Amino acid sequence: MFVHVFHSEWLKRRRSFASALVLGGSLFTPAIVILVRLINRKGLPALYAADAFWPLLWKSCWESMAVFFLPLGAILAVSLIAQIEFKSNGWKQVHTLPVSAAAIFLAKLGVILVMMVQFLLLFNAGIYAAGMLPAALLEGVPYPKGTFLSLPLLRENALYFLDTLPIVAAQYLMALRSHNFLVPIGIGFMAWVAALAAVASKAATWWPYSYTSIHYLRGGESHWLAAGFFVLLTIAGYVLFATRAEKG
Amino acid sequence: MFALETSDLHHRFASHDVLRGVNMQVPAGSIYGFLGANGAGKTTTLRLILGLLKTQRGAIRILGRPFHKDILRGVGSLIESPSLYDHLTAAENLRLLQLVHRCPESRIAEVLELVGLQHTGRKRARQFSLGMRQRLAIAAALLHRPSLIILDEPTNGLDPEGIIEIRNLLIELNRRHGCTILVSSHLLAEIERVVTHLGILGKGKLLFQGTIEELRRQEVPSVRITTSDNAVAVGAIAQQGIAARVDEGEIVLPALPNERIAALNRQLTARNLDVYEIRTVRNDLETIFLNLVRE
Repeated sequence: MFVHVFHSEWLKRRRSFASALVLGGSLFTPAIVILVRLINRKGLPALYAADAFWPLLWKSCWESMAVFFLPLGAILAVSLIAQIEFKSNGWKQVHTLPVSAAAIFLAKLGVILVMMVQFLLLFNAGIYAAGMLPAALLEGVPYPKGTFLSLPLLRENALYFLDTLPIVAAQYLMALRSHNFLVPIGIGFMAWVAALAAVASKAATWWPYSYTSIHYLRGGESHWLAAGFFVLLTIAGYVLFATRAEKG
Repeated sequence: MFALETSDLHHRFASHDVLRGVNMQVPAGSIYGFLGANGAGKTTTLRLILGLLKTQRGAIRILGRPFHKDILRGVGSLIESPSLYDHLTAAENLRLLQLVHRCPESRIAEVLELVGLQHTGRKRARQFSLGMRQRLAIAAALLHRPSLIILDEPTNGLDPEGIIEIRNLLIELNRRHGCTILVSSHLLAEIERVVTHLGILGKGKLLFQGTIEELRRQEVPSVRITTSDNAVAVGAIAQQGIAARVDEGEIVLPALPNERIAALNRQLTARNLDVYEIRTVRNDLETIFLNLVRE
């Protein structure tokens, strides 16, 4: 049954702003990198001949992604997915289906997580294109050495995904309860600003919105905390969702 | 056998009692009109029935069983305004529900045809008129061939032609497909031609429940008299031991035998009052409904 509910939820995101956000947000940084390289061609031959070309490109692309686009994208996308029901007056229809509250809650969360995976896959494809396109289009620029996808980079993707989960769970909790989608977005934005302000401090490791920035700026091993916050906030979100006296 | 039954259903919002012991019985195979003025508690009752509100006191049985999510497999509903995903087409809106109900995909085209939306193609729901939206929401309620259909004011915002279309659709669903239909409205005239049974809700209670014929039997005829001085005439009639009152320029009395009416006329003229009109009035259904709700 869950598969059918998930499929149904997956179709709802078609042509939605959240879907456009996944596409636009994931390819934005790689597109800027391509554009800059096509305009500033001078240093490219030396850059493309470097042994550490792919790790350097990866690092530079992830800078804006880890600190800005990934947390902000998660804040926006989660709120927009929940907003689809409020905007369409759809909660009462969802709750009058012969489906448990758990299936509804998990199916929507599942859609958000799959969209996040899509986001990361597209972002990786964008980084690859940012590496290859200048070499293909510009004369005198060699193709980069080495392979793009390596086990450490795959691991990095997985860790960034894990670090974003607490933001997803916190936003999901708020978005399911708030008719006005500006409320979860506003709170999420403030929480992200707080994370940026506190990222250098030890306290930041206990702030669910800070893990992607901590991972990029400080390295560190706070991933278990991120996973813990995700589980905790997801359970809290479900309890609040399932026990509402008035649904839809 | 009742398709839907509530017993002693109470509901309170903050300090306001919305429902005060509603005992509703919707016979299987009927079209049950659920009537009440705006704010009478109709939508609250329907939301309780569908599990959208937590039951505070009382019990609900749907299709012979206590409420459980699984029972909703046999129930189709439209509560208040339609739930439509504006960025999707009519067929896509129904596809979402078809997946969950696991009914054949061919049902989408069937119900779209049934409500006259088969030619909407790639047009998105946001481009639909109010009537089209309402019909799509009804199609969604019918998609999984429910045996009980609950429609909350389904003709809201529709033009007269749309209202007739919905009315005919309800009759067809009931007669050809054997669906039990519970349809709420605040206008008796809108549903009296369709329904077989009625429940009239007022001040949180069911004021009447039964067939249209049973409601008609409740009608109480009255005598209306117009004179040159109604105030004096009421005093004179009261002296005869008859309860009389003035309503909108007329004296209203309970129904009387013809001989007594003639005697009354003689007494009024003997007091130098001019009697302009005497008539017996039989209340129509609308008046009976309004009287019940106002009491």
